Amino acid sequence: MIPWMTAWLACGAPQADHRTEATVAETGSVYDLGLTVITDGGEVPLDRWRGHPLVVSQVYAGCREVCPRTIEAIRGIEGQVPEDRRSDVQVLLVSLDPTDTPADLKEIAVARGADPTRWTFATSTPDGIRALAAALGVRYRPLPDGSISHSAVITLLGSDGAIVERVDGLGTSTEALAARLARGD
Amino acid sequence: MVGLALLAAAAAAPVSVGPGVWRPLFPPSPEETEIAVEGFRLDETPVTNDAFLAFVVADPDWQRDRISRIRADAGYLGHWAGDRVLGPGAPARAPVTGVSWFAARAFCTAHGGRLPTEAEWELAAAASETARDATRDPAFLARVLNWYGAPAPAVLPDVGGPANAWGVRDLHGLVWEWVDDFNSSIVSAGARGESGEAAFCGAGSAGAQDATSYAGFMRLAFRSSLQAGYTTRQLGFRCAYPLEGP
Repeated sequence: MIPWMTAWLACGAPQADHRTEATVAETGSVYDLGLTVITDGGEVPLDRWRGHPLVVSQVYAGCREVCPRTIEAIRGIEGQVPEDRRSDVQVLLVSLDPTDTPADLKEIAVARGADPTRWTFATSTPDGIRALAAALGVRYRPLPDGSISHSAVITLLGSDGAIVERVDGLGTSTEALAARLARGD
Repeated sequence: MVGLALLAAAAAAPVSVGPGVWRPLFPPSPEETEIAVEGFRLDETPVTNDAFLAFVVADPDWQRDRISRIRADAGYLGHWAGDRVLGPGAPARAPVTGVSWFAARAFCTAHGGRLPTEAEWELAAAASETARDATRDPAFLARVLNWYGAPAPAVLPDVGGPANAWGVRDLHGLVWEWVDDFNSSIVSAGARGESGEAAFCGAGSAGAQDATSYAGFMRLAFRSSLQAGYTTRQLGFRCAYPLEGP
């Protein structure tokens, strides 16, 4: 019997990631990765959202506790955007689970008040999921019981695809991301 | 892509590894104390500077002066003398380093392969020169640990160290290597399938018998610290391939 002991590695604290002055030249555009996602309309390139700020997060339908809270956090972000700008907010949820359908994600999001005219629900191949997670700094691990252990990350992409704000961890403040989104740039 | 085909012919054929069971000293989750790994093929050595040079010449979007910053950080191929010139700091047959996960992945894809998963890499690396699973052999673990303790040379030596029991070389003692699922080294203690809470700490509970298993711990810690765009002078890669194929 292997004796168990707790070994904690360098555990990064949850953090918002402020890059208010970041430029695409410094951080690069996520759209330069050539990623695609699968919506209910078929496969679309991620850079379909180029030219408009985008709130993006990876969740999955079978996630009963963490992911609904992530969706609620995004709803909270929307709520912090002045009403006259709210119709500009675009959200993309991509599943971590390659067996999910866009409709599966739509169901849990709309149940929490997501506006399907501004939220897009998408899946991807296992390879595409891994690449998108890598780009967004999401850590995840499919487990033997079929669940997926993962970090809760909400990312704001600027119009040019640069990662301008990032919220990592439930309970991390979304204020800066919401403020940046409200600025509309 | 004629250049790539010529180079692929010159490189050693990848070797068969597995099938087998990886018994991690530090299980990635409490449910994964034994991880079955299907058979695959693995590059005999890390990818070399000359092979990577041929790749960027064939696909200039991956050249140092043209690469999008999202694909690799500012250290990308920093040890090369020029964007298409290796120079004395990057011997042709030394392992290429200063490459990001995206760049490594693109190279492997261009060669009809992929990065190995963590489980595949570790299965291959569990072998000593004589035993396929030497993870409980204190002498082997001590040798591996010594290599990690040695100072890194400014100019890396050529690939081609002794072959392990699978026929794979240089898994220990030369460079760290990317794996495809580097960002799966997570799982907080006690979480059953969901986390999202605060920080992520790799291997929330870890079995460790003594300090000689520290090398595996360091690899886990190292992978947990990586982001996809990172490059370091000591981080290279090799490719994996399906069992059947060219």
